[in-house]
Amino acid sequence: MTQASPISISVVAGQTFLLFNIDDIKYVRQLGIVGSLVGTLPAAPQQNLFLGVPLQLMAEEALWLVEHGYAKLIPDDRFIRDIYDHLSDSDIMLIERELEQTRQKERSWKIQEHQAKLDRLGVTKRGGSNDKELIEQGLTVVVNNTPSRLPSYVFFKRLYEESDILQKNLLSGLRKDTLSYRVFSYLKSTGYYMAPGLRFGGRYIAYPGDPLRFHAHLIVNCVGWNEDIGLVNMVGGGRLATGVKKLWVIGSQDPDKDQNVQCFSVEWAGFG
Amino acid sequence: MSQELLIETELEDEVQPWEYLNSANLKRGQKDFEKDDTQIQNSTLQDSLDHMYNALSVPRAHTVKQNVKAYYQDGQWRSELKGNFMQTMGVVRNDWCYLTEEEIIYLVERGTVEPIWVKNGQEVTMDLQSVYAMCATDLVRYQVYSNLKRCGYIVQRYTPRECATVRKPWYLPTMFRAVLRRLDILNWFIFPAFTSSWLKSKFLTYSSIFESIRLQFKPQRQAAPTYPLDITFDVWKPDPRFTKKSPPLPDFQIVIVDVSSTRFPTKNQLDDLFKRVEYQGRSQESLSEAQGGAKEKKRLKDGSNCVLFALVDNGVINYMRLSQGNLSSANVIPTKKARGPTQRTTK
Amino acid sequence: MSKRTSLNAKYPHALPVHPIALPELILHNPISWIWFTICYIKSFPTVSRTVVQFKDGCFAVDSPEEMMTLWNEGFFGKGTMSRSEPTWYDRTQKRLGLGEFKNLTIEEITILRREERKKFKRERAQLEKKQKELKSMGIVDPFIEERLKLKELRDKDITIPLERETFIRPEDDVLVVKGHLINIEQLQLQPCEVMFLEFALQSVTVVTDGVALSSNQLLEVLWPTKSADDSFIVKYVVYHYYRSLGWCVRSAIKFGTDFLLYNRGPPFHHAEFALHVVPNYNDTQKNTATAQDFTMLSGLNRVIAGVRKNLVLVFVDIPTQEEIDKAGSFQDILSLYSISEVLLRRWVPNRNRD
Repeated sequence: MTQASPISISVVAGQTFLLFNIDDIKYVRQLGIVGSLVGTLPAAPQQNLFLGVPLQLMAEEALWLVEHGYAKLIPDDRFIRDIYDHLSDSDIMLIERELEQTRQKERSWKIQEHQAKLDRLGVTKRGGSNDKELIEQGLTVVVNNTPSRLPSYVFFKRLYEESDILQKNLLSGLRKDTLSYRVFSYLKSTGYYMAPGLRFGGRYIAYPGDPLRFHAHLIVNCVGWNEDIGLVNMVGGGRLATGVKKLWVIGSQDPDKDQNVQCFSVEWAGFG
Repeated sequence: MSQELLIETELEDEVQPWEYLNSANLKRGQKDFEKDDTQIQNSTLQDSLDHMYNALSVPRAHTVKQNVKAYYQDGQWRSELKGNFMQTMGVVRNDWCYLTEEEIIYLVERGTVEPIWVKNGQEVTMDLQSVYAMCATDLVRYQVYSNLKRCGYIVQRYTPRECATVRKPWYLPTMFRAVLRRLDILNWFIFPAFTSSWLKSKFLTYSSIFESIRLQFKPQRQAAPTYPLDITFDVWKPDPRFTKKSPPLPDFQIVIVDVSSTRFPTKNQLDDLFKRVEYQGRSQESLSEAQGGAKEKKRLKDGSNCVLFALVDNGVINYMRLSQGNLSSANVIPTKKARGPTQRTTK
Repeated sequence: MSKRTSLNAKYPHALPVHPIALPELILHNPISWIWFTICYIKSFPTVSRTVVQFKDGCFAVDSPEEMMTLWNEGFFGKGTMSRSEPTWYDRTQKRLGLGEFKNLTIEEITILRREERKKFKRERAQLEKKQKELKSMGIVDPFIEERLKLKELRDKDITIPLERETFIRPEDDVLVVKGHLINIEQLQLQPCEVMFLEFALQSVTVVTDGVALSSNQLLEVLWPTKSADDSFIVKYVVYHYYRSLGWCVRSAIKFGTDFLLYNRGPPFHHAEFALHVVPNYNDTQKNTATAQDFTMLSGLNRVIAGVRKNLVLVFVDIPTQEEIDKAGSFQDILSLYSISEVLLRRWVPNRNRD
């Protein structure tokens, strides 16, 4: 699916980058940005293996999307407040009317279904207020992921997206020149998909393709060009990575030369 | 690679295929190691993605009957006094149940509560993104909260409690023991370690050799840490008898760490933290004294004054348990004495 | 005889310094008292003295008897051509057909294991090849039987051959002199082991270029900087502390950390604790600057948990440089440090765990 205009990444509580719109999530995935789902899945709220919306992006992922023109940043606290503050009484009445229309449709459908059921059971007595109450209680309450249905949503979204000053301000928190971003970009350009690496003692883990289909290959650490890695750390990292069937990778870049990021991999070897 | 290098992986380590969301036994899916550009690989991937997007698109809906409304006004969230969650969440005041930031996001996200914006007496149903925007100030804290809630725990913001005095087992006072040792005539002939006369000492056991070379450490004065660590949550295992009004001691306590911005604490910070933790069973920890065998081993490995650190890395959560160790209390000196020549002829 | 008793018999000495052996005291027998007292007065602790060569930055013992002494009496050092206990001589004798057949050494067991593993990998590669062929034709995986066979292979125990094959290489000429195998293996010691044996147990003499080093000269070699947070002194304090409690302390480099603690020694029990040494300065700024990284510790924790050991952070309080300079003896210097332990463990929020 192609997107003509850039999507918006919500900046929440300071420096967290979230996507609430499922279409946006699909879009960035096609670009090789996976993120991490961090919300409770309403369909299965008592487990932690499968989580739902919102999708959290690493700072590097957000920066990559913005830098390549695929996304803009939106400060949600201001954005949302603007939308709600601008709700006029007539706006709210309109929303209520629409909701009531949807309810009415659902109501009549449920009544039809209920009557059909009674017909099948051969019951002739049509219940009065009891049935009505039951149907009313059975109507659906839906909580959406985004406020896209509210009247001034599109207006304010465009306002924030097109303000260059704002975009610049928000971006200043994200720096392109950090080593971690350079290593991220480099690995991404060779086709890897990255995810947070805490579980494996690294900055990132890298997959050769979509994580839903592939095992991760690499545990990536970023080290300064002249930083002392420590042989003992290398041994430990190599052992951990080999033990979970991955490679331990160190990525760095010479700050004085205009070169590519260099990566080396370490794995545990056995000598006879 | 030899077998002994293999490290066990858990389900959480791998991205699981969403086809298993509804299956009773979640087993490891068959994933590939390399891209082979076959049609099968691509279509399997697309299937997996479709499963995931479908599950994500299931609307956050429930019936009017189950619905609990929560109103956002003047920066606060208050809900109706309705719903099972009230047993463990929120504070009741003036016929409303007031919810914290993490409680409201959790309840809205899982589909239990309908968030409502109140303006000039009018009400508008909000959405998930708006709820996050309006009240999320600490998302790392929220993510740990909801992770624990999804496992079934009862989670509340930390309340400082007075730590119960730890009943120490009764030891002979050190001075008395030293005097006793002096009375032990056989110890009169042990010379100071690290001197040339040490090897002329009359060591009867390995114990005495090990003891004589022990170092005397200077007692350290502890300065209070500049940045003491904050305990964020008290956590209880699921308990049907739990009451908000008078909760029992928590089962454990959580300190939250954002790994992108925080380094491991200093010894000062940890010592200060260990003094403040309080949970079920803490005061009994040092009582299970050296009884040898499995119990002592467990005590040695468990330590005392434990606290859980929740490490958060861009939405991924790992927990680390920290406790104070006391390996010097372990009984590892070999006790077998050397046997010498006997008066009688050996058999 | 139980395994425990046979181990105690094989390794009767926990250190190269032995307590005095006294006869049994029969309380009601006055002669026994006299004999006991005489033995007491006449006896002194026996010491298994060894000589350690210091050459090219390495501390090593090359006398075969002394190598075995240091290993058997406290499990010090590592054979330069073995995994831990120096067994190169035995293995090579067998390989060259020179000696009797004894029990398999751990190196030999590892070789057998690796051969079995290679076999398993060959079969698995074949299976994967077949799968790939079928995949490109659009068929997915019917190989349940083969998979089961693979699983069997993997879980099978290694079979120990009754007779060892000899395997002689042309370069083995240099090893055999007048029909006898010469020993080229040494026992290599870590700096803290040498220091402990020399300073604390006084059972070792360190020799370089034929000249014995005094204690001060040895300290000069091991700790030339005399700086309070030099890694030698910080690690030595930890090594000495746990050794004096009775633990057998060895290197944990293969797990990416500092020390392993064994109860009695490797042949007795697997190591239970892995120690990660962390210097703790009096200066908050310095502590913050050198603070550990959570992600790294998380990874280390995982490795240690994977080998069923417990990770211990050993904080060592570092004295000021002034205190070090003012201190008199090495013993005084050591007392300026102190140790505290923090246990680290993974925790999984499964309801049944603690």
